[in-house]
Amino acid sequence: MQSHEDAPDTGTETLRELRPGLPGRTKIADGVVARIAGIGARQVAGVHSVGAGPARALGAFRGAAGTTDSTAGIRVDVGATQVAVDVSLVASYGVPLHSVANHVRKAIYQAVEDLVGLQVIEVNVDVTDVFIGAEGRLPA
Amino acid sequence: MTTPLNGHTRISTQALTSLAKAAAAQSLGVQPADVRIDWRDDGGLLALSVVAPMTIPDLNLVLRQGPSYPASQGSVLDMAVTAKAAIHHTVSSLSGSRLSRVDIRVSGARTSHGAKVQ
Repeated sequence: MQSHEDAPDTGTETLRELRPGLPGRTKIADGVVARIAGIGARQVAGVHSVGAGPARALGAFRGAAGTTDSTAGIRVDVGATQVAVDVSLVASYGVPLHSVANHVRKAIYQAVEDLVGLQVIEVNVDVTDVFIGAEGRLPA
Repeated sequence: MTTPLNGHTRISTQALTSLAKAAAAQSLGVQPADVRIDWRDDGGLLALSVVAPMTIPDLNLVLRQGPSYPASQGSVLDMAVTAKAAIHHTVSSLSGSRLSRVDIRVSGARTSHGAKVQ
């Protein structure tokens, strides 16, 4: 990675410079990192939904209402060159939870390092629930 | 990828409970909503108690076809013991938690008409 100059502290939207070679600075907001991490996590098999809470009914309801927030369940701590991600998710029944968590961790590392260019220092995964099936019925 | 992956994984009680519910329901042939799950501390290890009804074969069919009736998996007690081992195995392998014991209380019986088996 290139050398960096500390960005001014702008509160929640910590910004940084990524291309010191040319004049001008590139700033990436927390929300962008969170969104990219969320999209990466959702693509992992065995992840039912990303975001804490009783997703059984609420997830379907939110999905139907078309207001799925792709940063829900993702918290990022963005520093000058590094980022830490906390993600909470609901897993599908039938997959080992630790393997889902490891795949999510890998997907977020890859998505954030490739697409954002920040160094990921840790991804903490919180499995908040396991999705059994619609209305608590096992799929046949 | 060369970067080592850091960070911890937490599995909530709710997630463990849903997992155990589904595993128990599958093993006992009932729906997850019928299953009650309780976790206890067993000298530092995790003990699971399950209260659920279970599906038993139609006794008229068993009587007519004798003990060789394919749906018959032994007595209710035998079936519960088999289910107990299955629940232990499923919950341990899916959650990664080591269970010290699984206790089952059969709270009722549902009759199956053999359509699911054979």
